[in-house]
Amino acid sequence: MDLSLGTLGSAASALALGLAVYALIAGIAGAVRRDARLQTSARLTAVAVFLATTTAVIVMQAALLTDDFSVKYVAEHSRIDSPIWVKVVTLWAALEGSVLLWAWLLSGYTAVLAVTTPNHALRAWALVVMQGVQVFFLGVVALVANPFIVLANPPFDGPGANPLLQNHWMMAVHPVLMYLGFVGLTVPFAFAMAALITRRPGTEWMQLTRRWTLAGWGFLTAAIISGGWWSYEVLGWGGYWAWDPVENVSFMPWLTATAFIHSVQVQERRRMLKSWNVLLIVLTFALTILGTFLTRSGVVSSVHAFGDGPVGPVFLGFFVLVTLLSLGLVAWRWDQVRDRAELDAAVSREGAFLLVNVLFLALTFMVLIGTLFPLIVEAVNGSRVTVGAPFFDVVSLPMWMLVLLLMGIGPLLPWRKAETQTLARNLLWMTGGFVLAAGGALVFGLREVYPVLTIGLAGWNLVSLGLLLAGAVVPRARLTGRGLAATTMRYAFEQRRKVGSMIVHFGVVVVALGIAASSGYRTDVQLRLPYGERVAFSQYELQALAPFSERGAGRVSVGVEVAVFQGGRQVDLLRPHINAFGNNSMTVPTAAVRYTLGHDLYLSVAGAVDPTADGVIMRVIQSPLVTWIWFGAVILALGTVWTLVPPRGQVPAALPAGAATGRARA
Amino acid sequence: MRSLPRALRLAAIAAGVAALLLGVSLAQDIMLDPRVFEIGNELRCPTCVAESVGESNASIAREMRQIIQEQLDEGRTRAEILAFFQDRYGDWILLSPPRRGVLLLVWLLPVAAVLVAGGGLVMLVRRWRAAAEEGVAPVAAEDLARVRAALSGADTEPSASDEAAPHAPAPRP
Repeated sequence: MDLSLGTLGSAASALALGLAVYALIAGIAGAVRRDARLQTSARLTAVAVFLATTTAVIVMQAALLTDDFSVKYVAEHSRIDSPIWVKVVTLWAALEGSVLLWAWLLSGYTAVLAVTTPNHALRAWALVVMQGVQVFFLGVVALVANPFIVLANPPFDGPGANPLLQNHWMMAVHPVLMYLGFVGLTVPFAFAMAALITRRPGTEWMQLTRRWTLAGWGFLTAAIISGGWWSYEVLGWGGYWAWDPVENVSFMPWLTATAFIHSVQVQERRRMLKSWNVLLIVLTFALTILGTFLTRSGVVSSVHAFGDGPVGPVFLGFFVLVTLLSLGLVAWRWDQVRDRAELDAAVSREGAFLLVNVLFLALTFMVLIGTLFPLIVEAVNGSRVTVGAPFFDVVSLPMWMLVLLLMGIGPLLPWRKAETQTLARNLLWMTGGFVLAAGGALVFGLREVYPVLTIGLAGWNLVSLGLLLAGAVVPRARLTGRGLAATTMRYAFEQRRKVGSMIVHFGVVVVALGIAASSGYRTDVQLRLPYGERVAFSQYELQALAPFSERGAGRVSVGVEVAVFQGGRQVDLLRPHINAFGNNSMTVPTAAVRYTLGHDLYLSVAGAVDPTADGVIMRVIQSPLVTWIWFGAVILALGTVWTLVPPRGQVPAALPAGAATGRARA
Repeated sequence: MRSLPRALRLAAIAAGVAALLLGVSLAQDIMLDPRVFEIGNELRCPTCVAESVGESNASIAREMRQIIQEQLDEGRTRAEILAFFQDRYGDWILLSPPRRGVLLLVWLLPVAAVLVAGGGLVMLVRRWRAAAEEGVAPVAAEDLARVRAALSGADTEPSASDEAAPHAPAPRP
């Protein structure tokens, strides 16, 4: 056999699998026999696995960039005249490449953990768990969905990546963020398992992985919202979330991870919820695998499921294995993690966190049941049923309102027991904020229940954040005699976790307002725009100028230039068009959006663009505050980063090995 | 599967209707008003994967939007139009499952989950509160006296008033 990129890639992935299997076995043996040399060998092998997977990724990129159609994956998903960025991102445009990317990121995380984790009782077993997951993914790459299979008769050109994916640069970002999030949440899972195995169910596993967990959560959040923006710009109906199965299965781990990052604080502060936190992280990890199974096996259909493959049963098997093994481990160590919890008062920080847990778990259950229900019914009596967006909206909206309500109260409650007087005063202020905001909304003529409630709760939360910040900063300023601004800055730099969470919560408020306004007050019409005439729409006048057609790399576009007038003055020129890629018969209507802070004007060609016709049919949408969702996401991300950056002059996360055994904290 | 031929028939009718409508509505600019998309968002696009009639660009979705507009022009209500499609395609066409039969389950389960989880939480909180109160139960006067005696090394019998309140941990509320 001659040396082609295909064989090279196959060899690299087989080598990676072999090394990972060795690292797994050596890791287990080293951990069981407390053999430092074997453990070191396993750690160094983790780095070697990363080098091998990196080689495989480089080989795949080389094959994509050089249009080597003897490699099956390239032949099936790439195309000569695609622009370079599309060729690069084709790595994750279909199933086999996505699994390779997942394995590569996982090996990267594992290598970093192997090298940087201090010598700690949990390290050996945590790396074993990471390596076990790694063996699964590399097994899929090397044995089940090998992207490097060599074709005997390579085609001269391929069909190119799915047009929906080529149509937007977000495709280069969103999937990577998603996998970074999924893989990031594997780390706390691995350490939780290690904590069970080594009988150290204290808080050390969550303290060691705090940054990994938050980073994973941050990536997942960013991935979900950027996916929403992709939908908004590409799918042409002016929405960003459709409760589609693929969206749902990425949302479920986010919900449980959100519950987790709140719930661990109860254990850190109050030594409660040991078993619950372990179960939450098991659930989070298992849901990422279940989600991959559901969407990649074709058992649920979705607009976002790009590429089915033979991996369905394998992922289902792995899901069952992970669930059984981790739950078995929890059961085996039950007497260690069983809570001997005490609660001083229900109205306390820990009480609020308990309620957050219930809410997020109920939301997870609702999403799961809604997504799987059609499958279950069809399996039981063969009838086809639909559970769609209206169901999820109706069921989840009351719960979201409770989440927002709780988000305002929780951070203001002290641990152990809230003082009734302070609580009453805070609640009074916050209710004032609610009444003011909701009343304002009513005065301005808003009548829809949930948008008005959301606006009210935004007021509630803003007051809460103000109280929180004032409560921290004002006494400090008084004590030190410094100015308020200077004290706030100091506080922000010193208390990064607290301030970071405030920023994140503020981001959530902004996102919530964007969602409430844009889903409650959207105008959605289909207009006929005769060329040259001005057609009134809302406060605008739209004038279709002339059709155009243009050719880009591997792409043909036809569209219409539409001048947007406001108050008689032209304020924008939008170019909604329809893209066709290569010889793919699928055309993608590509919306043009005028983004403003108050609302978006969204144009999408709804018919054929016929130069001989005297007009064009256009879907025209005006949707308020959509941009707030994207701004809010940026705030969320900044807040997450803020909590992650270690305070100046302090080395992150280097817990001394001895500090682990549940030392008392004030 | 059973709805497919029906779907095709409907599509054919719709195409005819659409052609007619196109001829008629050339004069006016608004072809589909906002209510069309609102109703369309309640209906599943029959040939799509997981998209609604309001969202999809498939030809059947466009035709269904035309039908909705036409029926709205005839003065039919949202409920009547949804029923029209439900008659032709079955419950399957509705994105919000009707609350009866087996479909009632999907509505009840999340509510049940909230109730069960909420109930479980209340029970747990009660138990943990009880545990907290037990944990700081006041020490019996007799035991306290014995401890004091042991500490001071004296052999004196403490008087009843000796076990003063400041030393005894106060029971928490």
